[in-house]
Formats: sequence, C-alpha cells, structure tokens
Amino acid sequence: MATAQFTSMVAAGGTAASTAAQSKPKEWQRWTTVGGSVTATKIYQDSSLWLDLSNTVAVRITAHISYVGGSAEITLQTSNSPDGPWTDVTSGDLDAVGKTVLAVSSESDNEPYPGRRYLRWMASGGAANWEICFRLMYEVM
Amino acid sequence: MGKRSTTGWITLRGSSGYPTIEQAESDWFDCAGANYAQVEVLLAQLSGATLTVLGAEKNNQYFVNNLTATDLSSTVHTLYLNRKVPPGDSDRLNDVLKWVVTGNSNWEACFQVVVNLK
Repeated sequence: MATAQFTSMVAAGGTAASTAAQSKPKEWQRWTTVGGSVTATKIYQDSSLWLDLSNTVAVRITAHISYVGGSAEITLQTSNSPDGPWTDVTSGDLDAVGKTVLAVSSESDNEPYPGRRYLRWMASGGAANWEICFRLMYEVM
Repeated sequence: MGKRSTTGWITLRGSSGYPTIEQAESDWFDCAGANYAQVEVLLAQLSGATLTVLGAEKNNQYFVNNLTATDLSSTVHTLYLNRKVPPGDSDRLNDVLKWVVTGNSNWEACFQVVVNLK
C-alpha cells in the first residue's frame, strides 16, 4: 500500500479541538451500489476511505441499506495494520433493507464488535448476481 | 468561466422498504452568490423511479422542484436557472440544489448531475 493512501484514510476522533464535532454523525461511505455475478466475488471499500480509529475508543456505525439482491451483505472488517490480517467485526448482520446501528469498540476484544485500528467494509453475496445499495455513517462515541 | 460541480455517475437501487434516497446535505450544490446556473441531468437508467432536482434558499430550506424525470424518454435534461426569477418558480436559481430519487418496488436509477455556475 502506498504511503499516500495510508495518510489519506479518514481519521475518526481527532484532536481536542474537534471534540465538539464528534457527536454529529458523519458520512463514511456515500450511497453506492455494488454487486457481483458469482458468489465468490467480494468487493472491498477503497483504502482511502478506511476509518482510522487510532484517536478514539469506539464509533457508532449506521448503515442505510435500500436494496439487497442475491443474499448480498455488508461485513465490517478491522485490522491493526492496513496490510491485514482483517477480522470480521460483525456477523454479517448488514443484510436487511432499512437502518441498522452497530457499535465498534477498540477497547476490548470482549466487546460484541471489537475493533482494532482500521475499519473498512466488504460486500459479498450468497447467490449469483448479487447486488446491494447502501451508505454508511459513523459517529464517535 | 464559472464553477463546475458534478456528482459523478451514481447508481442506486431501492425497494419497497426503502423508497427514497436523498443526496447527503454535505454534498448539496452550493449556488449562493451565482446569478445563473446551467444544470445538466444525465440519465443512463431510470426504472420505476423518479429523479427530482430541487432548490432552496439557505435560510428557509423550503425546497422547490426544478426538474422531475420519471423515465428515459429524454436522457439529457438541461436547465437554465436564474436568480432573478421569483421564489417558488421552477426556473429560479436558489442557494442550494440537491437531488432526490424515489420509487416503488425494485426501482433503479443511474444518473449524473452537473451544475455550471455563471
């Protein structure tokens, strides 16, 4: 991974000066539609948009999903290094039309959704010709 | 030469459980200070969906329709908006512009909105 990509990641949290803005949800992933023609296809978020959780303990992720076809789902993944290994932080719960809220914490591996330094999404499908349309918001807790 | 902004191509799908998607407020087109705008709406797909471009003044957020597209009978729509047109008119250039897509079951839209301010 290039250094430029590494430094352009979205920093969640930040300095004390930005604390006031932390409670307002921010758009993490604009509305997008992704899909695949076979179940083996997996699509990962662009690395320039991965969340860097180094300045915060926990974030609240809100997923808005408008369409799901072919048993598609969004999985959040976390890693201590941009090179991986990446671990799923949800159990593939982001697969239903509507709004879903998840908490991701880096404080303890015992949290329901433990998070490490970096956070990204992965889209996959359980059937041929899968497709999902969604956007993601994040909020520092 | 004025300022040019574009959404880039956007592909959206929706279902009966999620009938409306609106452009995020942080991405709304800022037209404050401009007197004229040329707005191009390019459509590649519009199936079971309605795409609307709306404008509002920053101080009241009451949006007025500038354009409504329901099918692909025209794939390129060009609007010429003017600040001097009275508020409430569809040709009025307001402070902000945004897009909204609505649909029924299994709707789909692929579009791009380009705003040229003059």
